[in-house]
Amino acid sequence: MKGLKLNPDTIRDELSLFNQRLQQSYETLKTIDGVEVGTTPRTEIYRNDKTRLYHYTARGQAQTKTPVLICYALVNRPYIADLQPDRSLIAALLDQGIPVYLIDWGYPDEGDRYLDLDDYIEDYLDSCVTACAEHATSDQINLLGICQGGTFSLCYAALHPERVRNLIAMVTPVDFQTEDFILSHLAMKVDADLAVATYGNIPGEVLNDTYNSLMPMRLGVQKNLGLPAQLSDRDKALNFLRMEQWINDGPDQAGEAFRSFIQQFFQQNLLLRGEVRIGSKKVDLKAINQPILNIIGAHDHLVPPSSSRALEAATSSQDYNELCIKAGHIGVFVSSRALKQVPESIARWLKARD
Amino acid sequence: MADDLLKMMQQWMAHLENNVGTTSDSDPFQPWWQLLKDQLATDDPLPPQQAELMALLTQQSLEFTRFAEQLINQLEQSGSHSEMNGLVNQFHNHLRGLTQEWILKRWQLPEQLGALFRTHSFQDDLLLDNPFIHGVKSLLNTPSILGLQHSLQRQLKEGVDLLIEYEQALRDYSAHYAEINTSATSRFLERIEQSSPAIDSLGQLHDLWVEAYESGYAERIATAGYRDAHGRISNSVMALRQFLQDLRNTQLQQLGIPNSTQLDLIFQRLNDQRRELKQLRREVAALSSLREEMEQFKRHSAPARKAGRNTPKRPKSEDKA
Repeated sequence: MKGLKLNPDTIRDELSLFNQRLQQSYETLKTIDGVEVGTTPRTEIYRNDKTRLYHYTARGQAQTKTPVLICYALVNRPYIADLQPDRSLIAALLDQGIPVYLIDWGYPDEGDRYLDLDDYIEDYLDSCVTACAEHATSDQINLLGICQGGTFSLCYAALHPERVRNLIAMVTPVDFQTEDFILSHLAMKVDADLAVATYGNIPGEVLNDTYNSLMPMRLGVQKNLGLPAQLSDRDKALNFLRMEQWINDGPDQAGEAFRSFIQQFFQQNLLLRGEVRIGSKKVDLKAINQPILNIIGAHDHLVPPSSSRALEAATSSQDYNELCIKAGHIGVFVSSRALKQVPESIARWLKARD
Repeated sequence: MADDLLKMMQQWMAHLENNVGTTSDSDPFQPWWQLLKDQLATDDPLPPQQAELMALLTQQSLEFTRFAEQLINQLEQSGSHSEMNGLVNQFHNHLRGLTQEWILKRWQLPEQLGALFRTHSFQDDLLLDNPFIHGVKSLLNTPSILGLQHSLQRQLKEGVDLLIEYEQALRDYSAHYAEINTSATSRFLERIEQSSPAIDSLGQLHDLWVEAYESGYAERIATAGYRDAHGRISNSVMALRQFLQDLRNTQLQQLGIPNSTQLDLIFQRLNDQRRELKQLRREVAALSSLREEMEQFKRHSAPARKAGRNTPKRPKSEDKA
């Protein structure tokens, strides 16, 4: 066959190398007791049910008066923003002199299945904004939302524009029905009512399976076969284990909030139409007139750029800025290359608007 | 040691014993062989995350090695320029098997039904005499005086319908994957043909396969047909699971044991009360703040009022003047 020149000796050598690396991987793994994540020093300054608000002190002279409040998604744990010292969006922002606060939604249990989007946005997020502003003695906050947390931040900014000075949306879905939004395709025909009736809270593993099914070969077979090469080096093994810990640490989703998010956002795409309802209030993105920095991953397979870019036309902001990073969904705030660019750009953008 | 890892290592050992026979220093598998032997003998377990990872790696390695050995045999028998169609077919079948395994694992039946079908074949006498069937029979034997028998029979019929729907949904869903595999194989062959320079390692061949598969897969899952099939299989698995939960709830209720429906009701009430409590707290905080403002206002206005009271009043006659 043209294009294929395999010979038994080469394959034997390859196989031998593969197994040597596998053995090295095993030796490396034996020397690792466990991994630490989220190591940047922080203080818990507020809690509301299972939600916690953490404060991280800016390094050196604070460069902005208004603090950044990071609102992460419900679907994974927020320590991805501080995965390890050299891969930490939070640490990099602190180095830029930006005071940071982080919301941790916690792990919902059975008793939380009736928490809905009103609870998350109008109670937990709102009370964290208040606590953050009080702690920083600032009238307003800069809200930085990541992924679903970005969508929550848009809803919050639309409902309480006076409390948000600047809005940063990172890998945030806005138009949930663009052609290349595969996750949305998969969610379209799933009966969310039945899901909540069946599971109560939606198990984190179910969502993880769904994410993995977006690229089953790349995230399954290929990733695993590449592992021996990666795990044979201790530092790379530690990096890998930290990321794996995060991937497999997806909390269950409070049933009511999940139902509402799937139906209103994914299946009916109401955010763009100004018809999303949070409690008794309607979310109108046109109420947002703050400066916006929209950070997009050019290779994002979970939230495609087409979905995030819809933000530009959706608000009344006259100061819309876009930063497109050559990275995937998580790479935007974890990869070393992105971390050389993103925190500095955020800091510069905020300082000009403080 | 994690059970999975132990199982995998034992499989590896068996594979090496069958295929390599005695080990020597020149054998590439020798270090591995020694490591497996040491690890199987040790009482010092790996942490769970590492053990899980090693189990995965070992499984992957076992499959990779098996495939590579088959390939080496074939190449040695028929030469490097031999007809590769047989090999590609073999690879295609191997992947079809893996895909089917993945589908069944991902969309497996709810535990109770899955256990029934895993432990008993349809020819097995025990199929109709096992704890699950006993449970169903006991439900059907509930005295009709309780007025439950008819509804339970209806429930069981519903269960059978749901099982049939699951079966059809799974077939429909698997059909998409069969097409994805076929399309991936043809893309794979096309890309091999176009490769320049020629592919000379299994790693490259593997990467090419992943690319070919992912491109066909991405196209397929964007279609309305796949969207429907995915929705259908998701919903049918959930419906079965819910059906079994309802059945269990009915049984628990009959035995006077609280069931999940009742627990949910309690959670809902607790949630309502939590919200009311928070609302009350907000109102109390607002009232306290209002009272504080009034106190401040009083404190500020008191000296002024006092000053006003201390100002000597003019005689009435002066007023008139």
